[in-house]
Amino acid sequence: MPFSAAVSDFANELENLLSGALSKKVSFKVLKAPLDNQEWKFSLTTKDMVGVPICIDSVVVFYVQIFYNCAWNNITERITILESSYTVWMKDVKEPLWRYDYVRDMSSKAPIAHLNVHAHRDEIVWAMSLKKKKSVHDLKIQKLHFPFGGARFRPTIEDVLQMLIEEFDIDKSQNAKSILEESRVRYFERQLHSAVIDSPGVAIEALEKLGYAVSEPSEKHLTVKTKKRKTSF
Amino acid sequence: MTIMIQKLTSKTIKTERAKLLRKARVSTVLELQKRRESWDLTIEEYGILTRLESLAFLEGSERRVK
Repeated sequence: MPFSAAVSDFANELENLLSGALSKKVSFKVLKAPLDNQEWKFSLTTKDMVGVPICIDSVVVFYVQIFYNCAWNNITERITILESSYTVWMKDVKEPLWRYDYVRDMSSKAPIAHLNVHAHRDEIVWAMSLKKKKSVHDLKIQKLHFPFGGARFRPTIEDVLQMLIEEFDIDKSQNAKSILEESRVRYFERQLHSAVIDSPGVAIEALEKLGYAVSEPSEKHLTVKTKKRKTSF
Repeated sequence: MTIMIQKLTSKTIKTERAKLLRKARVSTVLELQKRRESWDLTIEEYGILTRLESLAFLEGSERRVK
């Protein structure tokens, strides 16, 4: 599949998911730049700068900002999400409520997939102050990165939306849950596909337990080095 | 549905960056990043900041985790 078709599919899936679940038009914008002859980088975010308005009883209460920074490899013809972020804001409030971030090649000590909660809890802040020397600006719960599922099984945009539906009863379409579930199945199967490539031995063992006979390929096409993906938190 | 894919070069990245900075009424991305430290940003300003950081990503820079 060529680059533009794959990126369009990705963006269309997101548009259909959000527009379908929330019963309102949500549009995305893609920017791309060449990395070299074999790779492209692209970023995908909502056209609207403030993100996706989320209503309760037809009144905007939240905004969800979504962005992805990705790479496309011309040889493997695969999109790799290198960074993603889902940030939930309350309308007219100058600080997010919570945000899920994913940075595949994390250079800091933060978990590659994590949740930041912008809240207050004295006991946690007190504990943060005990050992590490921190400035007063760092003594905030939002500075904590709660690990969340690693590279393969991190929360998805479907989870973010469904949480808002279940916990806040936001306005949604009648078939929102089935749209989210169908989309989650597609995401899970893609991630599982990648997880099998990470660990073919585990996949073979599981299939053999189910009665399948799996034979080794005559030549190995894929050389994957994904130890970091499995051991990173 | 057709998705518009905007192809950027180093020249057009600069133009995009200038447009976003003008919209946020700041002269550098650092001003917004500094305000993010204390989360003194509106939702729209944060949207502009993430777009500016995405432009840096397209140019090959690493993202700073907050």
